Amino acid sequence: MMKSMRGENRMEHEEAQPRLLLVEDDIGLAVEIEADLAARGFILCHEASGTAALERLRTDRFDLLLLDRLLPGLDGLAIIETIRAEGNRTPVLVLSALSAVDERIRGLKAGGDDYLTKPFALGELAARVEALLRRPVETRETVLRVGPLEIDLIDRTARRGTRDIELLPREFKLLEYLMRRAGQVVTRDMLFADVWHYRFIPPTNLVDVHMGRLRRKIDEAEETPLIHSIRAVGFMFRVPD
Amino acid sequence: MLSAAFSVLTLVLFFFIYWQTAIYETNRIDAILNSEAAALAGEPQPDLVRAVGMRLSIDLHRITFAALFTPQGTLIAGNLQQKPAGLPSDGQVHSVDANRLNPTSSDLEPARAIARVLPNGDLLVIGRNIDELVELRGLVQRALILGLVPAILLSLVTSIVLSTRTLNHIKVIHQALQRIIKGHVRERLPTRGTRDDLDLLVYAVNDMLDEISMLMDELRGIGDNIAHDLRMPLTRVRARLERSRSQVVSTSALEQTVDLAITDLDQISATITAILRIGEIESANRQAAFTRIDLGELVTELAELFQPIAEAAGITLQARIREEGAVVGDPDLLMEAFVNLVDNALKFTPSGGTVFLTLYQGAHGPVVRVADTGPGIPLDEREAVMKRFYRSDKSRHVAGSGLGLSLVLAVVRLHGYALTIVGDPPGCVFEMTCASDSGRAPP
Repeated sequence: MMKSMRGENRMEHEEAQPRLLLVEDDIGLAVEIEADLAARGFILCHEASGTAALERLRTDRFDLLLLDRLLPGLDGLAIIETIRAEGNRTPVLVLSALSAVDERIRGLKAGGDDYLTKPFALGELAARVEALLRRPVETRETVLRVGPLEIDLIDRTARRGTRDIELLPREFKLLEYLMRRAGQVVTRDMLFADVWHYRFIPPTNLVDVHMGRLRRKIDEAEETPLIHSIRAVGFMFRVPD
Repeated sequence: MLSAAFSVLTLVLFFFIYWQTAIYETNRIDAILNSEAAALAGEPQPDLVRAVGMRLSIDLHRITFAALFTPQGTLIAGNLQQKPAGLPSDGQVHSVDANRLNPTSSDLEPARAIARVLPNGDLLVIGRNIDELVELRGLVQRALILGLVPAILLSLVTSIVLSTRTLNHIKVIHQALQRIIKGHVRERLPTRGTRDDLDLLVYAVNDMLDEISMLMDELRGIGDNIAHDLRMPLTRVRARLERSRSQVVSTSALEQTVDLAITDLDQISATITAILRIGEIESANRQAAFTRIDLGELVTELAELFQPIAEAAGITLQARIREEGAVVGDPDLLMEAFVNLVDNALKFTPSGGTVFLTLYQGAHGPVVRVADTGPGIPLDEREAVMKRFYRSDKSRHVAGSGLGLSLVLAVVRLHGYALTIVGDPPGCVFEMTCASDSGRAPP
């Protein structure tokens, strides 16, 4: 279902298939990632070592770089620093078995755009890739409209059609985040980090419960649902065609 | 080496004392002679003869010289055969050898003397025997030979013996260390019971080894616990995969197996992540990131975060903020710790129960209390609960890594706060005293 939907989006926007470079020395994992992302409509190239990846990046252009943190030859962070120094602005998603929060910060400081800890769900990876390729809609307007839903960023009010929706401050932030990424999968970890700004992993289904509450306010019984659960991955705000 | 330096130093010191004493004594004698010569020179001649005689008559120790000579050098009165050789008549004190009348021995006597020409041309010589000083010099020499030389020898011998013994002891210690390095972790370094520096060092090293052994035992226990927590889901995954490989019933059954396997793997991953996280909190130098925190804000945020979860579980969540609670700490870590405490409280509280979050001013600082109406922790389990990586058997049936409390404790230790379980079950009450010295305060 997700695949077909993504296909629709592609056609709508008439985008070319995004080209990704995966730098990963574990061939078994690389094969799985390639298969999964290819099925989701991405073109994937693979390099197993840091030095080879650096060579490739100097001659070829990619839309996104998936970079293992610990590589033989050249460390992942060193690659980011090198290409950034050379003026390459390609977004980088760091994949790492080093889970430490400090490690994550180091990855982002070095010039990475996102950081994913191994082991990860393939759905999580796809969602992050998508998020990096399609930066959220930044608008100067004070009113955000997606389908029948409209939120006022100044007054902090929400309305669906003619129905006013009462939202708690956190619910409003959650909704704004979803609407800016309409048609895009957002994962629980993304929400917890970006909406709540916590740097740790939530111990329970915290995000789900908050999302459930928001959903009950947005989608009433007879209305077409706008917030969808994506099994084992997260949520999506989507307006039906 | 050291003892030789010590000997030389002693020698120098000894000599210095002698030298200073001699100078002092000479100066004293010279001052007396100068003043006496001045006094006598003022007397008229007949009185002077009498004065010289008187001066000699009271000299019971025969240490004084006094004589009056004619300009031709003939003795008029006094106890000198002639003017001492080499004594200039300049009114200054000089060292001379004096030749006494009626000497007790044939030797000339060492003396300090002064010669002064009187107005009538006569020569006045007065002096003082300085045998004492010469004797003092002899004494110093004898002391050097009789006392210092054996002392130096003794100290040399002693130091050689001692350093040999110390070297031997160090060799023994070194051998013991080698054995410990090779894995005999129960072995301790030998002590001599002398309480010297080396011994104290050995005691310190032994204490350190004890501490390390204890930590290793603890770690082994933790390792066993963790292995258990990882092996259980691993065993399940393996069994399920194996079974579905050998007896595939349907695609949906296979899908179900795979889903369960993923769930179990996620649990393993969560356990590993939690362990690494605790290690990270404990090891890193995080105090650098400490800032001023308003605990009241944190607790409000906490209540807001968990309100929907409590509602969904049919639990009442009540937050009471009785003070501002300004503290210094890492806000992210404290929030993580509180989230774990509240999460635990909600997990163990049955539907219809209540979880209270309270911030109040305790005796040692602001206290955040998380209280629930669940079964609570039995009194005999509380000490164990506070150990690193402890997992209650009960918590094994509840989702999550089960290491939440270990993480809370790591954060508490980092801040120097104190975490206590208060009251009797039922109902579990955790109190975190958020003052950096509360860990040392009496409970």
